[in-house]
Amino acid sequence: MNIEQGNSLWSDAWIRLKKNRMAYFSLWVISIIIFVCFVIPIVGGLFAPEDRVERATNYWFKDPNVTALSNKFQPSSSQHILGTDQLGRDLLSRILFGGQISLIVGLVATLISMIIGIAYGAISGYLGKKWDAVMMRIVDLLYGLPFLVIVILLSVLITGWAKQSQSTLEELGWSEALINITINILPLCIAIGVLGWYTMARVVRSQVLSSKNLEYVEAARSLGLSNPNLLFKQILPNLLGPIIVYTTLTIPGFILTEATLSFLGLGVQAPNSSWGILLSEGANYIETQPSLLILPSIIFALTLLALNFLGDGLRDALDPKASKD
Amino acid sequence: MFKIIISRLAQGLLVLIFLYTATFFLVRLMPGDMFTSDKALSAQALKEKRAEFDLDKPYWKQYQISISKLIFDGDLRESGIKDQPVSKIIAQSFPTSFILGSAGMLIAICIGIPAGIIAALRKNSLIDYSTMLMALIGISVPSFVLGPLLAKTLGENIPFLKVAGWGGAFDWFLPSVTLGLATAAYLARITRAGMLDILSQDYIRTAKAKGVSEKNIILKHALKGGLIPSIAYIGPAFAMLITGSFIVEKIFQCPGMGQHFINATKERDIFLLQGIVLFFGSLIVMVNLLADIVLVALNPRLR
Repeated sequence: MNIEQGNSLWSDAWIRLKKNRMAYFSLWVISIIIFVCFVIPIVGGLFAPEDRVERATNYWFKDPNVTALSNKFQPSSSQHILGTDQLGRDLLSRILFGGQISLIVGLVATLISMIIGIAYGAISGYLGKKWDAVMMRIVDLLYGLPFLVIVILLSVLITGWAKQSQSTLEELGWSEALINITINILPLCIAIGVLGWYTMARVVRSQVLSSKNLEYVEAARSLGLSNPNLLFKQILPNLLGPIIVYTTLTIPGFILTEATLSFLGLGVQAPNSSWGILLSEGANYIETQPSLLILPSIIFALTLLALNFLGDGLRDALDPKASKD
Repeated sequence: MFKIIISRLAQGLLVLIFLYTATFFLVRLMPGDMFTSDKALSAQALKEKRAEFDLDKPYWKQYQISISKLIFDGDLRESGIKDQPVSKIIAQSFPTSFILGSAGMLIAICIGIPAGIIAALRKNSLIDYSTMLMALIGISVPSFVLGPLLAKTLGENIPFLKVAGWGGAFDWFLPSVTLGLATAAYLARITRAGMLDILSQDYIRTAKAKGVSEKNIILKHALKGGLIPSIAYIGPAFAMLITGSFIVEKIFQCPGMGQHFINATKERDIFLLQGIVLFFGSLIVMVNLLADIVLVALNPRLR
């Protein structure tokens, strides 16, 4: 039997996105970057040989943390495809590992800001009237703060607290890797996420405000749905479009924030590396070994560019009215 | 107009109070203080040092003292590390940050607005696409990539441009370009969108139907409304450039406020931190107020 099916909003959007060549290409670029930054180091780590020197020289995936000063500033070769850095570490491995941290920080911080922003904006828009006015006034005030300055102070504070709790975590029997993430990476995500939700709150609030009186919501309300149910199960799912678009555009901004902090020496802490740290180290050797700056720059800028393109493309695909100019 | 200024001033004051209080507690809750790392101090000297900066008192008492000194004497206290008044450090480093930010903004305006207007007028042409591609690249290439690259390419080949340092006649050029290009990119996007919005309005079509020349339509009608979003963006962007030049100051070794802020954070120099953040906040509030006044003056509908 053949039943004609209408296209859903999402399949329509997918078709439109595919037609936007730059955005579709960007989607591929991002997928590939995520794949190589996560899958290759993880698979490489699983089968790594015991011996440190062996791991850094002959094994196909070079350990990015094994230093060998006799091997520093090597040009590109079959052993080190992108050469080695000032401590003789394989640059390609470091870029992939750094990418992991940068992407994780960007994603986790975005997730935190998304949760706060959606909840805040939805409640503000749904309550309306006086509550809405007060809640949006607060957002206006927060907008007036110098973002980077507060992020720096807050991340230093949370990192300090996390470091103090290190011995407690060790007693609790947490694994070394987990403690490392909790102390050196998570504080940064929290600091960025906790301060980066204002625009998301505004976007969601205006959408909720305009859709809470639509017929389908009226219908649900007259069926006796409770307020939280109405808000989170009926209204919010219909706002996924703008939320996805804005989220995609937030991630590159937060990756950039992390890199900025790391570049200033206030972000991700050693022994971890991120793209920001690679760029900051590379900038010191621009005279003698420009590839240490240029190669990480390329993948870093490419990631941000692709995410921005994809965000623009998604906006056009999910909200065709806005893109008609 | 008057009402708007008063309400914005009140809002600005609230921002400053909030900012000062938040900074006050953030810097004090951080583990360790500015004397922890100084191993040369004896226990007694450490105690005296802490007492000198009121660090031995409870938080609310410290807050009270800080606020009253600030309001009644305009005193920002002393830096614990540099043994200089905070106000002096700010007075010495602000000009550098201001020159960098102003030059950066000027560069952004000179590049961004014309590029946005041209892209809007030639919509969907090759010029439009390439301008917007450049803008997206400008947004995606951060200053800590752009800065060293500019230093390497321009700084080494043009004799009067120095790669690092401050004091020469053209030393502002490379850091300001680095600072301004991302803003130029944003400005180009905003200008294009604003112009497109106005160009599709009915009154522009009416003017066209009446036979007004394209040049006159653009100069007399479209620019007036089309540039309002760009002007609205310039105020906050300018504040952001002055208060956010940490990176270029580090790359090009300019002695601005950003350097002091970063070092003060690492050294927990609490009064210097409080002073700089309060100064940053006041600057942002003032620039935004100025921008609002200009906007209201330009757009009668906001009155």
